[in-house]
Amino acid sequence: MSAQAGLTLDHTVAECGGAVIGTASWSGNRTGKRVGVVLRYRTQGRGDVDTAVVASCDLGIDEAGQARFRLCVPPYGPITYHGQLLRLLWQAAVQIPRHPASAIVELTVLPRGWALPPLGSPGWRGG
Amino acid sequence: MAGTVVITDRSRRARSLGLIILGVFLVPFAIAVPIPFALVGAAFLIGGIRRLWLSHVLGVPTLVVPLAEPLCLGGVLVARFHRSGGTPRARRTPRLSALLVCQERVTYRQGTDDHTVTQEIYRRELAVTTDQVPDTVSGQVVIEVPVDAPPSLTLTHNRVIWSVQVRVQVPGVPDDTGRFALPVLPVVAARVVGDGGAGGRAPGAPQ
Repeated sequence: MSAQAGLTLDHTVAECGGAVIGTASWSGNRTGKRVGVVLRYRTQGRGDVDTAVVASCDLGIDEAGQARFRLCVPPYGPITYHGQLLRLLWQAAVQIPRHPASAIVELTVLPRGWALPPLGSPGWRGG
Repeated sequence: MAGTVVITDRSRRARSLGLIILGVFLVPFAIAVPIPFALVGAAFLIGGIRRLWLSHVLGVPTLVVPLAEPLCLGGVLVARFHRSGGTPRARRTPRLSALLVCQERVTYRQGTDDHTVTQEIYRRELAVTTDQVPDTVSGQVVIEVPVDAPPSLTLTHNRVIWSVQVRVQVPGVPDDTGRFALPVLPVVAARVVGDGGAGGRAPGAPQ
């Protein structure tokens, strides 16, 4: 049986210096190696690709499980960007050893203070 | 000066030296294949020497930015411009103007060559006050960054670059433009947040 993973974010919009919070679930990790969730960005467009993992969270070595996680967005970005020559996209992904990126969710990173939502509000004004 | 960042634009001197070196490098080729290489080499040499002469005549443009106020989206910053050195003639009744420019710059590799592509995505004239002090080229530049523009981005192959370009016009002397790169943080300025937040379309969001 192959490994499976699921990923749900509380919000798909975050701001620089803020946090990405969500729930990850997985099964089929028979390697005994560590399962993790990562926050990363990647560029697209005319230029060569720049990519980096900016935060990660260890979810343990269990064969299956479900866990809450919190990943910090760097205070000075980069932000999600759709320009003329380049685009910059953010993703959160569950990583099961030997099953790379089993679950991926795209999110938007905005400048700090762009449009802070009131606590408990379902969405953001920006994005 | 304490609490400030001093940015000087010495690109003219660097470019002139580069042209002179290129011109000298072409001399051996000019001996082998006289006319074309001699012409190209002479053009580089003359261009380099002219730029060096301009550097001597015009002086070095400098922008002084307050350290305590990093540039933010929607933020306003007052910088001081001055040109040091240069001949007295180049300091007579100067007229200053300035632009705020944002460019995307990407590099990509094709075969063994690296290519760079630059695209200007924002350009706006800035308010400038020229100092009425005899024999000086100086003034005040009000830098106002739009809130719905992208902040600076500095990755290996992909960049968003903000710069202030200050142009000095003096009668009888070639115009001179100083270019100063300034980082813009991915932070909305307090004055915008205080007005109720930026809201609207996010910087660089799809149309």
